[in-house]
Amino acid sequence: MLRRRLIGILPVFLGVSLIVFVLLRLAPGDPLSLLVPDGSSQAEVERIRHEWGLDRSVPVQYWEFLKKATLGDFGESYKYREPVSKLVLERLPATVELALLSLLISTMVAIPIGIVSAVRRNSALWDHGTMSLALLGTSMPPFWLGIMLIIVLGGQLNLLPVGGRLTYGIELTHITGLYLLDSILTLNWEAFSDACRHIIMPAFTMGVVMAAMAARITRSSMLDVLGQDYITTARIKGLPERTVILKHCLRNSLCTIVTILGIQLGTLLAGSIIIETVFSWPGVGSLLIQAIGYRDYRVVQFTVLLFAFIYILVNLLLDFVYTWIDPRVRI
Amino acid sequence: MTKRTSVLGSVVGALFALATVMSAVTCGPVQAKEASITVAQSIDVSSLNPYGDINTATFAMWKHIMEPLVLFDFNKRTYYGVLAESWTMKDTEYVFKIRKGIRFHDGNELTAHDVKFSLDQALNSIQAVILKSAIKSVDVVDDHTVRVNTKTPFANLLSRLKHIVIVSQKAHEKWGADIKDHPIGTGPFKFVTWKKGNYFVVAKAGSYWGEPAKLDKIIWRPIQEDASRVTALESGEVDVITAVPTHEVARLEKKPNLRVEKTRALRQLFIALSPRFEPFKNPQVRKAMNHAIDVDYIIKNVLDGMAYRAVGPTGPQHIGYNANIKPYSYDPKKARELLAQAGYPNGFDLKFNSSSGRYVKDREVAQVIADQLGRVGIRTQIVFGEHGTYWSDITKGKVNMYLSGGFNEEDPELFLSLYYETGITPRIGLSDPKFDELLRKERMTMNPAESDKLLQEISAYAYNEMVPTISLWHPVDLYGVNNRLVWKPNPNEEMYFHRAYVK
Amino acid sequence: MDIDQPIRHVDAVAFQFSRIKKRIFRKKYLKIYVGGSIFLALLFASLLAPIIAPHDPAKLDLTLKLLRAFESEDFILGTDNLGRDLLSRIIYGSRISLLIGVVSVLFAATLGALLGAISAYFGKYVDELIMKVVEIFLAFPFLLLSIVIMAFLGPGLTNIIIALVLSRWVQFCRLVRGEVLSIKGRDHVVAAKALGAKDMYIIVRHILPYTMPSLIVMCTFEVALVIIYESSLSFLGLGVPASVPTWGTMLAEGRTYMMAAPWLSVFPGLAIFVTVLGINLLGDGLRDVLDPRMRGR
Repeated sequence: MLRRRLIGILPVFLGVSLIVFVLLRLAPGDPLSLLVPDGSSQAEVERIRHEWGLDRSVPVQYWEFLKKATLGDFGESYKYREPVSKLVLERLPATVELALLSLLISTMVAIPIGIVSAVRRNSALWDHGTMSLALLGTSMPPFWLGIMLIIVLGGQLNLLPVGGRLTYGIELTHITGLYLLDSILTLNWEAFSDACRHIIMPAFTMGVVMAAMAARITRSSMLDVLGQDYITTARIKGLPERTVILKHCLRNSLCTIVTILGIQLGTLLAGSIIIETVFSWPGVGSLLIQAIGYRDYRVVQFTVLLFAFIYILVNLLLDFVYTWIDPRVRI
Repeated sequence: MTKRTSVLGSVVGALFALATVMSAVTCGPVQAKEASITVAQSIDVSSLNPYGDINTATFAMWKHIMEPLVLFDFNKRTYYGVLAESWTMKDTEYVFKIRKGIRFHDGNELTAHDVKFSLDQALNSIQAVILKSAIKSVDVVDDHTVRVNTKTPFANLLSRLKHIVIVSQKAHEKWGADIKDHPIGTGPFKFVTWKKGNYFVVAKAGSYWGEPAKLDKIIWRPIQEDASRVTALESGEVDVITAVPTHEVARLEKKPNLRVEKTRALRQLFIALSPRFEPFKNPQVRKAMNHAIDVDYIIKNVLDGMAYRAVGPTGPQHIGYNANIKPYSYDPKKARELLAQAGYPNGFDLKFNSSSGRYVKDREVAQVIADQLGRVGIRTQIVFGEHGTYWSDITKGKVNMYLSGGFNEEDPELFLSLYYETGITPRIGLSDPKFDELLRKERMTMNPAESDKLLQEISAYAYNEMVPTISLWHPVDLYGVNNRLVWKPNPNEEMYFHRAYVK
Repeated sequence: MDIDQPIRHVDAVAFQFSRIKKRIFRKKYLKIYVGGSIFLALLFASLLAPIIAPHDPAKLDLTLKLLRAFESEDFILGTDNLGRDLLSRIIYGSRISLLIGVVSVLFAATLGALLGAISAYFGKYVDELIMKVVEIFLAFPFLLLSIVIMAFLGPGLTNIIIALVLSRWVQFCRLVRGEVLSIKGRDHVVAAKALGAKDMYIIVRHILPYTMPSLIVMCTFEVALVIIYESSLSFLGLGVPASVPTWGTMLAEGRTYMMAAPWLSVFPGLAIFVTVLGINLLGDGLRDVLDPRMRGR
């Protein structure tokens, strides 16, 4: 079954690459107009177009792309004149670090809130109060929340830096590329505190948006489980409520929570485009939006494939987690 | 119940504790005695290859590390030698004498071979394809003399050469393909590090042939959002920011530790009117549109006064500015009359393309202009394209009326050629033999005074007779600066900190 | 573990109370009432915008620009950077914002539900094929998909709806497929089949209606999400052209004025919040009533 799953990934990759390839080429905007300097003669422009392989038909271009991609060669960025794989992978740790921390924040906030509001259903504070907060979270566009935080925490209170990832001048040995982890591994507390100060606002902003959604899903899944017969049985047996909730209920809603993680990953990757732009975070998302602006096809293609790869990989992993949480589930 | 609250309480407590610890650490390490400044602009360096991508911000950063042969002095309004000591022009030959005793950051001496090597590199790169149409070859005459041969007499060569920085041939041979990680030049600063998307750092060079730099370090950071940049300046996180929103100027100027540096820009905002669109074939219509827009009103009310009205394709900082051209008066009645005479008493409909967020308040400006045109019966539908689409459509001649920002060259020749000359680009799509002839003559004229005169004639002719655009204004470039830094900006959007110092 | 007792006690008391209240207020429907009336009010506001709005939302008057909120009787919520009345713009903005939210979700739901039902009903290769397409769309970050589609189609109301539909339909498809898998084995479907009904007829008449409860609930949540996404697209410069004010665009354009004129982004933000709140309450309430598993609780 696992083999089938892995084989099944291939058409997904092909589909994703085909869509991005075709959409990019159909989209108005020509990388040559955007990247070749003003005043170049038509002959020069055509020479460069040929050099970039853009003078061929789209199917031929796609075929060339596939041939090279299978060998791991995604070409050179038009703008940066560097292999796109290097360009993008260099920035990946920043995005991953931000995503992991936001996920951590959102899970740590959302799951307890979801549980409590399900258990205290209809209580003014625990249920309606927290769920209204969750609604507030869902109804705030992330860029708006981000800018508000920058103005208040970065400006008025002057607590945190407005952007970037690490202050220049702070030395940090790179091991994983995740600054928080690296600084802990090397016991470099100065770098740790600086990296923390930089990451906290973007991670919080992204976390809030996700937490709102996750809390609501946790709540409804808990409510679902709470109504099942075995819970009533457990209660009748006289088990303490705490045990009933933490052992019987939570364990069974874990599946849903894992599903949330899977869904949120999509939100995270997409959200990174906005959050990284707002907080000048040097990750893949901000690179991607720039690359779209310049029609740097190769960067966009590679990034989209990378995002798809991460998405597929994580969801595959989550499937294993399912079987581990709930032995009834088989892949 | 109590237990749960206490767990929550301790989590909240821990977070607060963490926040307190973190806020206790001040913004970055403060190095004693070192004069370093941080500069925030909306974009990052695009490459470490000086002949790679072309954009003003990157050039400006490059010029701290590497230097070109010549630069333009905006006060004296002439070109002056940087690495070139002197030069002579004769028909198709430019001969440059290279300064003696200049050393690159790696210790090698600058010779004519480096200059030839650099120009050849540039000629083979994307960036300098504009040079290719002009330059035939580059020869080394002796160790400190270089001859540049042009295809035809080409008086505007210096304005193009000022963008080509000179690199060390020996360093290139030593590093090979890795040279892009080891940028070595002759500038007052040397390259330190570049963390993409995070910071780009240069430090004062050990020895410099000219006046040594006064700053020890410059750190550039990309911060895209306007609000974030302003906030970073206010909190002291950065010392210089670009593109202060006009409505923040008054507030920032009230802060005792900040000031806003204002520089009249070379760049001109204009609206192109392409004769591809039937009504625009008639110059009466184009004149009517010039009368229909109240430029001064927009400057005062939309741009908060932060612009100077433009009259003609050039401004006072350009070479060949014509101060005697009379601006079109704001006169909607006359505009209607002209439209009626041209056969459009009820106006017409068309699409009006505008950039969005590229130039100061462009979205607002476009809406006000559309409103004013509507009052004389010209009904426009504004199209705010995303930049990739907007710019490609202009360069391919797919749009007939658009708001654009020209560019920031002191020599208007390239601009006039790209937008007005017959058959060069389809951006406006004009065909005016008299204009072409004048521009061709200007290109051949080696005498600066004569060329100045010709450019003045061209400007007047373009503004009064051709009317291919509505000239709007030269914006005032706004830089937010911390008062501890003594520095004046250039009018061409290139920030240069060679002589800047910290109080 | 002494914490259990009080809860049960409180629960018991609350239960008694709620039984009494239920008869009078029908608390079960409270969320629907509140959410529904917010939604209806918005709908009316958008339909009657020309009557309710005190000013022309497009009328520029730069002499009146950036009037503060609550300081002028004529412009209660103040004016924007071009002197347009903010209240009128928000009222007119509800038209486009709701239109984008409702229309794109309706289309996405229809497309997704149909494909999901077909996929589950026919199974086998049809299912595999459709699910592969779904997986492709899921693996494509939706915001990115909208961005690329918007760049391709150009800005415009129809285009933004197309972009949102194409990036949101998969959610509905997955949901409906799951539901249909369990419905298609039910007696009435089997009976219809046995009587020789056509497949599409069975899907439309006998299967899809049963997925309505969860579909409606999901729709309400999606409307809220889509309104936020539209705002994010505006932030990235890909939104609806400015002559048509949407709340998202107003928010995105007001962001540079957050210090100088906070009301420019606060009020459109508030409008989004109230809308999302109303729609979500409606969704929650509908779920409580429609979802059989939730019934009676």
